[in-house]
Amino acid sequence: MIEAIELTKIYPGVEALSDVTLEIKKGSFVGLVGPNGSGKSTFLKLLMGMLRPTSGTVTIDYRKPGWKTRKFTAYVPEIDTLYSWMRVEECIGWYSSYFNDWNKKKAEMLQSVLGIKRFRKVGELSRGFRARLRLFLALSRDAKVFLLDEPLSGIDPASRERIEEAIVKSLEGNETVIFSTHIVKEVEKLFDSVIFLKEGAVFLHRDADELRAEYGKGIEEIFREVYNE
Amino acid sequence: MNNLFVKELRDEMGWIIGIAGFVLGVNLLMYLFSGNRFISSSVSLAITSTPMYLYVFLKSIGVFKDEWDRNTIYTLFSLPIRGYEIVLTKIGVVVLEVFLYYTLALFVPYILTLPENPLGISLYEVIKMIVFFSMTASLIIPFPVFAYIVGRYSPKLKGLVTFGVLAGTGILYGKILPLLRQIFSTVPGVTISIHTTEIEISKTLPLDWFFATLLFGLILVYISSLLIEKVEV
Amino acid sequence: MYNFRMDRPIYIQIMELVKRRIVRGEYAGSLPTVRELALELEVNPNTVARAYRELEREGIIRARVGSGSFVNEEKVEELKKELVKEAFEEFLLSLKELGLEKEKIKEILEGLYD
Repeated sequence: MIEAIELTKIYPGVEALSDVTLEIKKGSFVGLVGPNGSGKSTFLKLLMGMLRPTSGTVTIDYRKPGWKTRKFTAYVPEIDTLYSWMRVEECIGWYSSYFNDWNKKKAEMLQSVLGIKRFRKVGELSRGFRARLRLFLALSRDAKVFLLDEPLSGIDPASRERIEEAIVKSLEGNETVIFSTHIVKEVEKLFDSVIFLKEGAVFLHRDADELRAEYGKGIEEIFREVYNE
Repeated sequence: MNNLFVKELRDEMGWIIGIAGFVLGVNLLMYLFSGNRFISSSVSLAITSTPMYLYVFLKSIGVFKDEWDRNTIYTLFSLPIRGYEIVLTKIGVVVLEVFLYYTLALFVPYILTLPENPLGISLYEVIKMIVFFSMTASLIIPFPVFAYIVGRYSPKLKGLVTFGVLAGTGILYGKILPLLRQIFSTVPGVTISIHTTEIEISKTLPLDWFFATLLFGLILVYISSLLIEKVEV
Repeated sequence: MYNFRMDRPIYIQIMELVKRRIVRGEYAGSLPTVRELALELEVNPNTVARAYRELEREGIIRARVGSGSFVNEEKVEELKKELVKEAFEEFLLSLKELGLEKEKIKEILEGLYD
């Protein structure tokens, strides 16, 4: 479903991604882990066509990322990106109108799980609630690919719980999900496979349960070992 | 696209209200403090017109730059929309602001002085002026839009590139204009006439430069629409 | 919510859980669907699907196209023996770790036998 071949992204002075070659099969829930600055956000943005590769290629469903692939790809950015003057309800109405894969039933369920406040303005929401809204907009779609960029980072514990619950409840099992994070605890149980990024390169890419069987350790523990050198 | 235009409109609502308030305010002041009403409104138009050109220029960049500054560009680029949709809706809103400005600046004094109508101007002439001034000011828009988008497309030195492209495009326009004007040399001009018992003014303004610039501008808009699909966030 | 250990494959822990429930008679009718169980355990449906596939390979459950999965009754007796044996072996292991003599342990056990 997702393929990168010698994918490299260089910003002035910084090599964010180095020669990344990987393949992610359709329907897998991938944990993209690594500390801040390891290239996770860059990878996701490249998948959305928000960045151009410096060299190498990346494809999503065998296509170059662009406006066409956004029809079936749902992206949750790490930062606040919604129009703060919109009321939540208007924001949902406007955003959902662009997607044929908007699932009303899912949206209803997620609205209650995430505690979406319909009548406030987006700008008036707290950080945690803005994060919940961003996730809501993505998960309410029957997208083929979900790209979640650090959905739990810097979020209050109550919002974290709701977000985790929302993700679990919206999974059917056939979606391709890339969950990028530097906090692995609690969410590692959702990973089918894990990609460890270190300074822009793929350090490890394995099936999660296989890793557990082979090392007798959880992903969180392996994470600490990998990045403490 | 209509959805997007509505969002752009609401995004700009503050400025739209500001323009309306400003023009109405100036008109009101002129109306209260000046004797010869319509002359005063031409004065007010003249006073506020030059800043309008500057405003259009800055606004054309602003409607794009704001999306980047506020990070809402991520939302825009997560939608499955084409580049031309973004470019046209944003230009559309700026054009709307221009039309609003000139409509209020010319129409309001016309209405206010209707009973006396000191300059004997017909509604038709007022409308012609509104359309002509608005479209002329709108011709500026493609230049900063194109320069900004090219700047954003370039991986480095975005500000410098924007400036360079602006200058370069301006120079190119200057060189190409005579050639383009020839294409439209047969287009008739627009005539604006004012007759009263005292004055008889009739000015015919040639439109070949207008359509030449419009053509150039549309080409810039087309290229901008293609490029914006490839810019980096 | 169910607390899984992260240092062992989750699909294996799910298999063990399902086996225990089968032995307890909780799945006398049909097994929950992959999605239902995933929701209950708060894990990825793919992991549950993997557990179910392994259980099918072991012959403990059978999938019928369209009507979900069912317990293979023939295997339940064997399963009971297997689980009791496992529990017992764990018990024995913890006793042996005490480092006491077999006779001493027997003596204590007889005393406790109530």
